[in-house]
Amino acid sequence: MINKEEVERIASLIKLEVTPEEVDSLQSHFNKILGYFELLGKLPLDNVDPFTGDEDTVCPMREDAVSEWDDRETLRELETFNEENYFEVPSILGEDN
Amino acid sequence: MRVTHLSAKEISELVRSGELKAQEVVEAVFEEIKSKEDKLNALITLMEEKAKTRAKEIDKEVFEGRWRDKPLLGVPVILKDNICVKGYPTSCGSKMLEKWVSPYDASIVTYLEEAGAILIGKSNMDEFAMGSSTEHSAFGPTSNPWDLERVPGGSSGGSAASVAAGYAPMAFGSDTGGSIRQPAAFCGVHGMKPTYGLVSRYGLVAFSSSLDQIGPFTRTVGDMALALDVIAKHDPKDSTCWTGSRPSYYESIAKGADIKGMRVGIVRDFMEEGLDAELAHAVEQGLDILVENGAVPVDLNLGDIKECALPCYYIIAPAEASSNLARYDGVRYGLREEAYSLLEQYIKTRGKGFGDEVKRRIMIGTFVLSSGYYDAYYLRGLKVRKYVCDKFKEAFSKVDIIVMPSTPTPPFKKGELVNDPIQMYLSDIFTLPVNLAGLPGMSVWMGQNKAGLPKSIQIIAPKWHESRILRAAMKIEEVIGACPLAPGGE
Amino acid sequence: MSKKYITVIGLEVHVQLKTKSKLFCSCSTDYIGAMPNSNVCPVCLGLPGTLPVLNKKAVELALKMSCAIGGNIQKESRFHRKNYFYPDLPKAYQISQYDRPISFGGKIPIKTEQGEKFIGITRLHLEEDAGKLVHATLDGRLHGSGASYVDYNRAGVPLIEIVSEPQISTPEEAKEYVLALRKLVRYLGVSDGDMESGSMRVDANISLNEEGQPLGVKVEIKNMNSLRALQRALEYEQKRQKELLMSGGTVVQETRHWDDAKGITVSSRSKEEAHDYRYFPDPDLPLVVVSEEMVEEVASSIPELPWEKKERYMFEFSISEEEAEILTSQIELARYFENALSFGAPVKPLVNWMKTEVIRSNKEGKFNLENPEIEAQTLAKLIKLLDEKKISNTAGKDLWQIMLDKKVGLEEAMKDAGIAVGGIDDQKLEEIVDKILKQNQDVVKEILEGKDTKGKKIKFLMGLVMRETRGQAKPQMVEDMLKSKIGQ
Repeated sequence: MINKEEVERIASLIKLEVTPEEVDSLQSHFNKILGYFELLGKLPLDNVDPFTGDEDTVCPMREDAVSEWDDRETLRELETFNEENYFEVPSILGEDN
Repeated sequence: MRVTHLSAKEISELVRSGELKAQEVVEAVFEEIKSKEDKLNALITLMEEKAKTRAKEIDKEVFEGRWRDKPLLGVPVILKDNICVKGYPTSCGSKMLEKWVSPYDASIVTYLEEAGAILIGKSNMDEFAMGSSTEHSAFGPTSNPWDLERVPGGSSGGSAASVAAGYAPMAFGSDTGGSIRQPAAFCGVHGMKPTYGLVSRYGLVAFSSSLDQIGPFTRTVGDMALALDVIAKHDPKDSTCWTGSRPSYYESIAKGADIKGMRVGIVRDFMEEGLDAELAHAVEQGLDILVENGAVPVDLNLGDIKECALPCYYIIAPAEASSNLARYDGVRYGLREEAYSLLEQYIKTRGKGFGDEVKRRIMIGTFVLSSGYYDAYYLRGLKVRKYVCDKFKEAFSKVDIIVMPSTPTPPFKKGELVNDPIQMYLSDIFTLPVNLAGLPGMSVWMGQNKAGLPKSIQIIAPKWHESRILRAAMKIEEVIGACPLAPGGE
Repeated sequence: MSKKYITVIGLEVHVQLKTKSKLFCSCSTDYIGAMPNSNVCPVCLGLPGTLPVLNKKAVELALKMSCAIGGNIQKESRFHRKNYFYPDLPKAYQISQYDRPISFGGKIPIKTEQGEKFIGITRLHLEEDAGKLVHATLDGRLHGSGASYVDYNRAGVPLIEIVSEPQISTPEEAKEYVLALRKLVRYLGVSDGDMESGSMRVDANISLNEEGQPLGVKVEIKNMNSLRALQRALEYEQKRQKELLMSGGTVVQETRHWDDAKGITVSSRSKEEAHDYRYFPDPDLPLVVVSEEMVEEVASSIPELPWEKKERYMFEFSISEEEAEILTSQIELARYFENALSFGAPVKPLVNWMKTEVIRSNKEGKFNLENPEIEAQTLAKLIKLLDEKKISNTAGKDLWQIMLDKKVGLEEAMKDAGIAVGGIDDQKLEEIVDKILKQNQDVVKEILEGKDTKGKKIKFLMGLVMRETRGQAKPQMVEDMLKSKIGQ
């Protein structure tokens, strides 16, 4: 069972503002779905290595060549982009995220 | 001849021969949209000006003798609103990105335009593709064109409804756990999720990167093959995109599909509890048609796939989503709730920008990855996924394709499941395993049930064997017929 | 009786790789001095729908470094996502490596007071850099609160992180280790290794424990922007922790920032919130498979390493360790030295010349080692002339300077300075003697009057002539010529 503090801790990890009502409903959802996850405990998975298998793909690698994005001007349409070409955020001096 | 009744193949041939102008197509399409859209709410963005300019250009090129080799010449297409089109909003059905205009085209947009298609709009969807009813959209729910009281399925409900309603003969959606096949089944159109890696994901806003795949909705199997021919390309911008060569899908069915000797698996366990009787019958009927055409039926056992796919999916997909959706923080683009501190800005922006279902999923996803729970949940989820893959692999050593239900029920009513997330998740019970294993799967139209609602079955094949599915679907279409336009919204 | 404490230091060094383009997109890595947010694209800005594509060169450079330190290269490695929120991180996760890095193990030799010591390497992995934050307390829009500004030009630049074993025992050793690493990355052409500009960044973990006791609580120190800062920060922290422990206190596990101006470390958060980065394999990037050919190619491109070169110089040329250290301090210096040798310059005078003239001119900014103004062949000729005593040492230095200042060859410089091989020629000497006599007619007069009984005056004139000839003339010849000219 997941308690409310745990729900709040998870929310803070992903920077999500949750109202007390949301905490309640998330808590109940959590407990329902975690009950569902129990099903997985029944499978014979001890010898399964999830990182092997028929991976058809290996990571492709590109040549080290520069190409410029020719549409940078579209950044100016963003409200968060200022005239000095910076993205602006509230001061984070002295603030721990 | 009503343009909106035509298939993509027919439109492209008429435009190519000059019998039909692309401009007439566009006009007819927008007329259709305007007459029905109030009731359906299938689209978020109309691209009328762009479409008209494009149609004019096509007509000119055709008149001057060019562009005649383009397979989708003059064909109107609709894209789910999580596929980026340069200069247009890509909202993902979310308040978070409501005003975000993409400065670049998704790779499939480039492919479609190169093929002569005309983009006409962006369709409604469950927020960030999380949902099975298109009720979780910041732009209001979409209605099922067969019954306006019902949901079109989701998350690509807008695309499915658009094709069913005759807005376009072809639309594109994304499928992470059934988001193409389930709405296709609910709206009475064909819908395919290709093999993971067949189609580029570049420009598809990520929900769960290891499961997401773009695929087409059409009303004919021929159009499905045509659509795949255009979008199934290797794209160096997507490192998970398969480098192998793709066959010509249209060629594989053009000369009449031959399925003699094709081994068709049926999973009896899937046909038991929880499955609507008429849909169970549709699966039997589908199998019968194939067998009558020379296919060989094989009874299959897929172990505990049906039971474990759902919890497995609801570990892996939310985990990836929690990370994929972290970038929506108000710093660069999208919604920003101004605040005095950065932390406040983060939590307010994200608290306000995301809807309930998205919050539920990214919370679960964060939980299963967080320290202390990773092994018990995320890692176990990966192991189950491997188990699912292995079971299918084993099955495909005995059969060439598998037929099974697309959905456990016909389309449900709006509001019926929206407050019961887990019940809603169950409507994807037959589609989820296919995503987990990265296989291709297609919902195939099987006519209407007694209540007049669409019926569908799902055909799946081993990786990269979309052609097999198309051949089988073609045989069924020869008996059942192509998908008719839905009556609703008129 | 005072207790004896042992210091345990481990370093995490981030090195920016010298690639043209970023790790996962084709934007330029050349961001120093660039307009903010000009080296960006949808991928490195983390726009919705974008995907990473791995830069091959970055993998090669990481492999090169792994090879050089003797790391155990992993045939298969994987990228993970490290999830955390910060405005300089566009996707809110950093693509990094976790349990399957490019390589495990390896070691780096350093010089200590006790002699040579090997510092073990735990692992080496690839990851992307974050953007940069600029803080300003301008007239913030929100009632005087300031704003911070984000520039993503650096976001996505490839980094390798090299994690050392906790085998460093003193701040001095830490400095030596970083110096060795810096020298190595420069030798390999993997990075500029410049701490001041941030292309090499060092974080330190330091703990103290009583002798014979288990390891102490470790503190992480960040924000050290120079070798000096690294050493000072560690010295400060060592002292702080020791005093704490000796007074019966306990060290808190935390991250502390080095404040260079004040010379102290400062705790960077009030309450230490354990980070939960929720690492998981990046589903956008399949397994990275390094082929045998790729490893072989990289291995064959590894030059002689600085410490190997030093050993060889000492052995082969019988020079001191200090001299060998100087010659191998930069690969370009060593290369210049070896080139001059290959053109026949004798070792001893060449070594002397390298460690004095070459280094001085380089420090003065007059001599570029990468693209030498004076070719190694020319230096070899000069050294040979010196060695065969065909010119004097003073003349040699003059010629070096003239070649640098006037950008001329050796021959032209000699002509310019009136220096000839084998000394000065007779005609030139006669001109100088005549000139000196003319300028010193009073002295000549006194000599003629017989006043130079002790020969001092003739010595005086000889001195003037010798100076004018830059010491090239033979004294006996000058004396003879002076005497015959004066008419004695």
